[in-house]
Amino acid sequence: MLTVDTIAVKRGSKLALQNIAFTLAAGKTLAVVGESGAGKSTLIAAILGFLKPIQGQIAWSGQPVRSCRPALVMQEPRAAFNPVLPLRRSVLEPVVAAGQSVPEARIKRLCDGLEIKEEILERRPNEVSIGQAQRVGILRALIAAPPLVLFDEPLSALDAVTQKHTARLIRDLQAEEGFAALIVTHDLGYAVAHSDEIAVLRAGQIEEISTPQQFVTAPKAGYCQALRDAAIALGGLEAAA
Amino acid sequence: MSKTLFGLLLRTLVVLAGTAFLTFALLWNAPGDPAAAIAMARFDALLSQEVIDQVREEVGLNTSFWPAFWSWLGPLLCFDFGNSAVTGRPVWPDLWGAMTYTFPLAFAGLMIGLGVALPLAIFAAKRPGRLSDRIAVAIASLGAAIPAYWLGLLLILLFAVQLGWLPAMGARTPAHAILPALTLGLGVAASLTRIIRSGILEARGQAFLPAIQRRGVPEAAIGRDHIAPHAAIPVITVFGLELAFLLEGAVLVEVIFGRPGLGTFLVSAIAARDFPQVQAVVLLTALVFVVSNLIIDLLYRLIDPRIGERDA
Repeated sequence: MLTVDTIAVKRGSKLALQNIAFTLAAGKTLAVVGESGAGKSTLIAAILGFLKPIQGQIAWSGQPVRSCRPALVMQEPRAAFNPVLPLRRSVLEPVVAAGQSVPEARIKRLCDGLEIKEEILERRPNEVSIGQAQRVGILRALIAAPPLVLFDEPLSALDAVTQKHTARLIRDLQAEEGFAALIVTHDLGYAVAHSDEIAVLRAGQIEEISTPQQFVTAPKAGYCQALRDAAIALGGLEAAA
Repeated sequence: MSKTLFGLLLRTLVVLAGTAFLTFALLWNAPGDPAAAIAMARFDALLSQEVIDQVREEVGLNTSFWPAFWSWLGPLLCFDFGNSAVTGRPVWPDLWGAMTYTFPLAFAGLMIGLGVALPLAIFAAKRPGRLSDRIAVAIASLGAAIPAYWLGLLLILLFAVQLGWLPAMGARTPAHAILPALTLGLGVAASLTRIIRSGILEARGQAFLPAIQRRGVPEAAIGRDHIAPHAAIPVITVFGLELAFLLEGAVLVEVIFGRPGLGTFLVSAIAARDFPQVQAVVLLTALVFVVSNLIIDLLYRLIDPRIGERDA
């Protein structure tokens, strides 16, 4: 279980996160939503240990998070890979690092699940479509069966059809693999349709943590309600709810 | 790949041909009478017009530009640099003799430069912005700001005059090469340090690194597979430019330390308007440049295959 215990994080001299507290159990999905600059990416950086909290603690089952070798799926699918190397080498890196043999059967199973043709792994990032690159990014994230996967705006670079498809693939794989997923997104429709809980982040603080149902039907008055109403007005929530 | 190699070789030939033509044209059109300069160098005295005209005819300066150019270029295509206009001896053995002094000196300078710059840059890049980084950058900036002739004199003062550890002048023993090589090498180290440092820092900021840094991939493997190749591209580029600095610097350093080599060879050849000798040095230098650039181009393609594909 991921435990974020009342942390505060500084970026330079500015306090980027404060009083952030939540837990995330295996097999569950927490969507962190909020506008740009709310501190969503800072939260990911802090969980991965790239930024050290000045207050509070982050742990995975009582241990430092890095001990569980968490995976990250990045926002820009092609930029998430070393541009010079074939995708296969990047995908296998976490496995090779652990000194394990290449899990061909697992690659095949994950490729099937993600609807990737194995041949594209021989290509470099700039030789595949953005949608394919993102699915290969998910493949890399899952290859070593991590218990925790962080998704940083995983769908924002994709077109609408690919977004929907990729969101379903992530959910199906989570059901199979049982990893805990923390998804940072500004897409409320996606958060409502694919998470167990939604945390609304605003100016570095959590406004509300609720179930998708609560968020849609009875959000906390003020910012959360305004956010929900805006999403409804834009038509992003009807489809999801 | 063979297409790329052919393109690169073709470019090399064009550069060499252009250099040959330009050097000849510049020397031919330089002010003053070349025949008088050659006669002066030969006999070391003021001479009558008659003798000067005789020299002019002898070295083929009495024709027009194009016949003179072709008569020089023809043998050159068979790797014959001709004979010195002053001594009458073949150019190649003298040139080779000068090269045996300059090239090892330049190579030693390059190795010293790299040997100093690499650890210093890695040390600096470990904690960017901290005191260790600032000190390393300050050393590098100081090194870049000190001209070779000044550094050379300082080294002579310290190691030859004050401490008496090393010889100051000449080229009789390998120990004579230490101070000149240090003078060259520290200059190279200064610019290489800054380039390697910024290369490492830029490579460490690559967008994809956070996706693998917590996956159990050892730091050493990340450094080897992702940071070093990325940082190497600008370093290789500057390394090529440093070759220019080294050949220029070697000329200067040879004068300071009273060493024979391409520097003295070129300076005396230019003073005497010894066309074949000057041409030979310039062509040799151009050859060093184009070959090193060719190697650099191939290295780029080896490190980042996308470079070759873009050109194809």
